[in-house]
Amino acid sequence: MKKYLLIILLLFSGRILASEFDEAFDLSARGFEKQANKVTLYFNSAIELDLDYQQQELGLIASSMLAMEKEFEQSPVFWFVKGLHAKNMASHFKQRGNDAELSRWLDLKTKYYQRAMQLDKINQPHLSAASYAAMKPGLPPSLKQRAIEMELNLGGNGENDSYYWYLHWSNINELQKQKLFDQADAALQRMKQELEVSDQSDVFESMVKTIDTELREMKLSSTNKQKKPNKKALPAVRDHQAFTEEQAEDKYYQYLTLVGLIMLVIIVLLLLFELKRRKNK
Amino acid sequence: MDLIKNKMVAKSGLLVVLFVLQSNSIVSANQINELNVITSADPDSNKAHSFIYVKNGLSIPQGIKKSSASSFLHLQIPFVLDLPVDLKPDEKIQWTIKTKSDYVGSVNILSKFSFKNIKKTKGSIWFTDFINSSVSERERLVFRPKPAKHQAPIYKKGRSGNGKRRKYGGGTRRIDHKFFNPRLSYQVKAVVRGSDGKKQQYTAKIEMDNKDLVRQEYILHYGINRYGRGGYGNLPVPFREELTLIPDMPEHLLGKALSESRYGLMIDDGLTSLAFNVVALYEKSKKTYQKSSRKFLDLKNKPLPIPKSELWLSGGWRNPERNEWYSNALNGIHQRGGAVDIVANEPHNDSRSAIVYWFLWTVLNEQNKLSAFWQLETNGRPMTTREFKEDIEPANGIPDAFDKADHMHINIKYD
Repeated sequence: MKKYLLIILLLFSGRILASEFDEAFDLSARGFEKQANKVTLYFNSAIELDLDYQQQELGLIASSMLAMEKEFEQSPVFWFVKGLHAKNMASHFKQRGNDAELSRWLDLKTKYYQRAMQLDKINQPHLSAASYAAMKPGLPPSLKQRAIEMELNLGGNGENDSYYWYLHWSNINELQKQKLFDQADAALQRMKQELEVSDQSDVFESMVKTIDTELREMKLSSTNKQKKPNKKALPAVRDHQAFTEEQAEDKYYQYLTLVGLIMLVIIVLLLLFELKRRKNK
Repeated sequence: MDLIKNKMVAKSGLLVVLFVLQSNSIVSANQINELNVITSADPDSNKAHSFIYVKNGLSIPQGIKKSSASSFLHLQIPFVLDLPVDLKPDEKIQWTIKTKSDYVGSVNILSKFSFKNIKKTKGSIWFTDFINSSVSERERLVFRPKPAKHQAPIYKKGRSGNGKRRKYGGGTRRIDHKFFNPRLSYQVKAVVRGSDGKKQQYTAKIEMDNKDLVRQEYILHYGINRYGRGGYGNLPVPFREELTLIPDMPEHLLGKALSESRYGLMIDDGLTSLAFNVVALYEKSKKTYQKSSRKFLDLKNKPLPIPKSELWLSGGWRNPERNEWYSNALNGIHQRGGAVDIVANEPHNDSRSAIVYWFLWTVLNEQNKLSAFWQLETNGRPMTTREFKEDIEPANGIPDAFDKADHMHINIKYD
């Protein structure tokens, strides 16, 4: 029954579908609206179709997007939609318990989002804050931080002022986790400057203090860790002993060589002495 | 074309000269007195010389709180300004209405005497000649506001392109340059000129106060068309007494968002006590877990740390203009004063915030002491049931719903 209800929904609610993607991500998917809307419906709602039917539906979307790939290969929005779809596929295979396919689709998702972000630097229509917010979960650290930073640059997609400042915190936190402390420092300075000119510095003062403290502690702990492994990596006694043994061995051979050379010189001198004595005879 | 333009400029210039000449001696007026003013049938609004504006033919429900008795708002009474003294037959009177903003639009004069209008760079001036005793009821000025239309006939969430999204805070920061949230204001002046040439000035300022400004936002959003999905605006307009001052924040709750607006007002239909109860449950449960041997386990049965951080209130009462800018929910409960948004005071999309959301979710579900509805949200949408089951983005032993959450929305139950 649910299956048929959804089919009816997909077929007849043109008004809903027409605005699904646009409304969710503040973006236009001109040329591939139908696919984008269906992908969004799967992405944003709990679809309760039976798995075989779901796979068939998702497969149809995937093949129709594949057919369009050449036409839209330079569109960041197209690759963003492909990433969303890859996430939908990953969810599907998670439900099926197929770990290999799950992993493959998650990798594809990352690849597609990465492509979308790369193209966003040059091509229009540019991605929105809402699309960056949708991309960031589960990405590798540097890509996740990039998505957060881009969302931040676009003003965030929250329902209130707090969201924006928490986005700053997320950005700094991701940089910290990658030990990019200089960049984290710069991001914190940017946050402070923005807060200063806002009318909310008193409200978010405590947040800035927490971030500041965390950053300093992580820096310190990282510096200490860097120092500690050096000591461990150079187990002073063992390395020193090894060094001494080698030195001793070297000296032994040097000594032997020296003795050998002296003996050779003595032999040569003895030979010369003998030759001279025989001549004199 | 140029001739018409020149004629208009000349006419306008002449009117300015005429007005200045007539008003010049005001400088030497003896004393400034106040006009008697009626601006609203609502006694409280009238006392503040404030008002709301409802279009003729509209009927809008009022009384927004769950327990409020509902009634209907119709066309408002016109402004009535009376001279506090009787005029002598040889005295003349000149009326002037001045506005400083284009938002005000025009006025609809109901008095029998005629007005001339000068359009200024910002705002307008309407004024009469000096009226003699042949005109009846010249001591009384009656007019209605006829404001410019609300700029947005369609409810549309603010766009985020070019980093411009945060420039508009929902009308309440008064930085809006797109005609949202107009505060209608009129300065009215009556100059009485005696037969000896002496002048006496009477003034009044009619202006929407904050309470009526908020109510006007509700009026302007009633029946507004939803962009994309959903119905139309259908929230009742609050009574003035439903708008109250902002109380202190509950203990152990960070942020200052019981009211998200800058009006210094809010509608509290239970949101403050809701926030208080949520925080109390959360804090109590934290202590209970810390004291007992009970562990908070992840999906792989590994113990998770009990959160140390306090909760942050990111959303409370939201005025309609602000709601339109930030929210997809046209008739969202934040505008009723019955909802709070709670945020983990940790960096978002991090396991630390995920643990806080999961813990809070668990506490609210296990305790089940709140007569409320709650949902986790991300990116302007509620989490799906699938995201509560999945652990793939990232696979960290915490359901994805909590990893992705950017706030928890909690509201009192409405029928």
